[in-house]
Amino acid sequence: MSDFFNNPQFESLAKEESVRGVVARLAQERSAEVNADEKAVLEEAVQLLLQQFQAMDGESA
Amino acid sequence: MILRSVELENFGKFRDQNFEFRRGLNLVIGPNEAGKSTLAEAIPAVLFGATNLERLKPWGSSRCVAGLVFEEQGRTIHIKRDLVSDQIEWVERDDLYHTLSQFSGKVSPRGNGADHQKYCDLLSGLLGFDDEGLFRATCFFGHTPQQWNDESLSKKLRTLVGGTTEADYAQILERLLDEHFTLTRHSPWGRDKKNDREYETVCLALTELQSQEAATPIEASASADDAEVQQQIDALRAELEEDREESRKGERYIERFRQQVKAEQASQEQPAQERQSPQEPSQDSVETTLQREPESAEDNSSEPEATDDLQTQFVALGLPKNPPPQLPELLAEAAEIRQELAVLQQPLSILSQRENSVTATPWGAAIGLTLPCVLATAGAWWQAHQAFLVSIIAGVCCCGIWGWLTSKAMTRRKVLAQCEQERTRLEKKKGAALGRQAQLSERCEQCGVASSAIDLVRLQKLVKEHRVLLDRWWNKADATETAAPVAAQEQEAPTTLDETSSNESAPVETPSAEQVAEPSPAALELMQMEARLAEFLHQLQTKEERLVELESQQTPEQGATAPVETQTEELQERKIALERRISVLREAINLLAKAVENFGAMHLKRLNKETSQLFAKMTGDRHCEVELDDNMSPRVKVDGRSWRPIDRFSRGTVDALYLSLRVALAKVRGAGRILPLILDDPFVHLDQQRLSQALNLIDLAATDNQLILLSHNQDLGKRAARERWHLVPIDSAAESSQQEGGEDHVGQLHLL
Repeated sequence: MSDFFNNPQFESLAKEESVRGVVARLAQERSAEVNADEKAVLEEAVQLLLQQFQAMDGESA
Repeated sequence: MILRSVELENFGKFRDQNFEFRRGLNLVIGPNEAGKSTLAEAIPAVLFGATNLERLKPWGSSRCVAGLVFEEQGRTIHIKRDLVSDQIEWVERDDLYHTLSQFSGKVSPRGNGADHQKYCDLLSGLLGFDDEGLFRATCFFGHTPQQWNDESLSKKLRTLVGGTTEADYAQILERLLDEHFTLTRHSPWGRDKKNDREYETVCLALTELQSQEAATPIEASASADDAEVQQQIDALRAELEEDREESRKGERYIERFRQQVKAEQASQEQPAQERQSPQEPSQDSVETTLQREPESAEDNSSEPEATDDLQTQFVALGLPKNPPPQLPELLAEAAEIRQELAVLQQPLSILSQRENSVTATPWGAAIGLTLPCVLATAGAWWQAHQAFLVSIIAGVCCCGIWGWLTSKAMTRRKVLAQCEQERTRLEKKKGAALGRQAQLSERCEQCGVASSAIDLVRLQKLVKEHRVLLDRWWNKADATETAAPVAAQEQEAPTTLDETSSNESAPVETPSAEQVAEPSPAALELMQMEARLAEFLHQLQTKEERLVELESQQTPEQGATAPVETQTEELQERKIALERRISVLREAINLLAKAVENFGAMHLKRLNKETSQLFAKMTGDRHCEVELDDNMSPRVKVDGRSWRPIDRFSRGTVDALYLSLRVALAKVRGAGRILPLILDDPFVHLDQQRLSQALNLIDLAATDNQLILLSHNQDLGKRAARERWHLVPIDSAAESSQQEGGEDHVGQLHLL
């Protein structure tokens, strides 16, 4: 679980000056506060949001 | 990025005109009606199309074309639009004039085709947005400021400030909320829906199933009862099996006994000589049976010898011919007492060894060591030579010796006391065991059994052998139904030994000569046996009825509950999956909403800060704090206390505020792009002081942005010369255009 929020790709995403970046930063902050079960839910939620962002990019392209 | 040039062809009053601009501040100066606003309007018209073409197209002309040239780090973008046909020509080239991208197509302001979409994408790549309203709200400063409280513009600005234009987060949030509502009707972010969704349906179905299973405890208890009943049935079946076997044996025995009684009755009718002839020793139960058995077992030659041997040993041991029924008990108790005595013997021997190991206290040696000390002391006192010192040394030695001896004696005494205590306890146990043994000996003697331990051990061994032998006899009797009644008597013999059933052994004792003379007791005994057998059979029947009853109580197989359980499991799994998905959706929605809010707040805060700084400069620090409220309407803090809406200020203050706001917005919203700002005489309402401050602000902003300021103020022309601004005099250009064209643009007066 911790690998997802601390891997280099996610770290670079968290540095973005965008809503996606804020999402990543908030997820990182939250992952440090929750237990393992909640962290799994959080990871799934972040993945869902990233999929939605990607889909939105695809639609706009 | 800068706007390098604006090319106008049959656009307003311009027949064919090209306006060049530079970085920094560009001042387009000219009198009223010179075409400054037409020039300014050409920029959004090219980018987004013209909604009021009549104002821009020259009267009587069928052609109205305008073009823009943007320059940005090694590339040049040339956009040309025919405003009549909305034909766009987009060419992007690099420094070496190589074409990087090209677009050609009709893009009307209200179009929605593929070309329109492609052009919007190109425009977004160039400006960061493709919306005219946003352009006019940020980059374009006209005479009349864009109404910021316009709801559509506020929404656009909120999007622009909140999340730039990278994605429509509101749409994503809407999608997530829609999915959440397809799963459950409950919403943490608003009103719940009326109708149940999948989660509620699953929960309801699960509750119903569980309520159905509320009856399951009865079934469960029934199944538990069934298990219990099954156990009872199994035990009863086993018991019945044994009882049936016993009843068969009993019937056979009674039958044989009956034949024997009949034979005896018949023999009573024979002459007395015959009756008084030596009977076979079958009347002696054990001996007779043991002797007669070989007759019925003709094929077994070793058994007679074994029985003879066994009989001899019984007699040698002093065992009565009729073994006492309590013999097994006596033997078992004797074995137990023997074992107990053996167990007690071991700690007693250990105790003895321990007592022996404790050595006696060497009092003689102590006296022997003390005596020299006393003599030495006495000698010293006699000689009066260091008597005191010698006395002390001798005293210490004596004390040491006697102290050591005393402690040793105490330890020895303690050990001996412990041993004595332990010995007393063991002796007490041993005495009790011996007492029981004495009582057992008396009982053995009363039964006519030898009471010595060795005899009892041998007797126990013989009883075991006897049991084995009788088992073999019984098996043979089962195999050959023609076994002699004596075999049956022998069969009953073991029960007297094994099961202490004296009643069962009684029939074994065949009547004596005196008893034969009185046949009624045998017949009576036969009747008693038959009565007992009948009672036994009655009990057997009762047990069989009980078995049938128990078997009928067994509930049928619970196959019907299996699908319910499977369905419950499936629903449980689905419920868990739905709960998981709902949790994920809620987490995602909260995360995205918070991120958008944070991002917007961050940028809005920055925008408010930038605006406040700029507005403070323009107002000479009279108003230092400006902010946009939730509706993106600006308000100003007065006297550092209360907030006042912008519509309560003078027109000049309002203009200054909007100028500050737009410059700040262009700065904040930039997202890496520095767009040119077009200001079409925005200072007409400012007094000299504020105009000066506004110009200073513009000059400041021009260090980052390209500014195209259009004004009729001739004083600005002087300042432009002084400040080395790029000056574009439009009046002469318009004149030259008129001269070249030879036409009077009287029809363009409506632009004023």
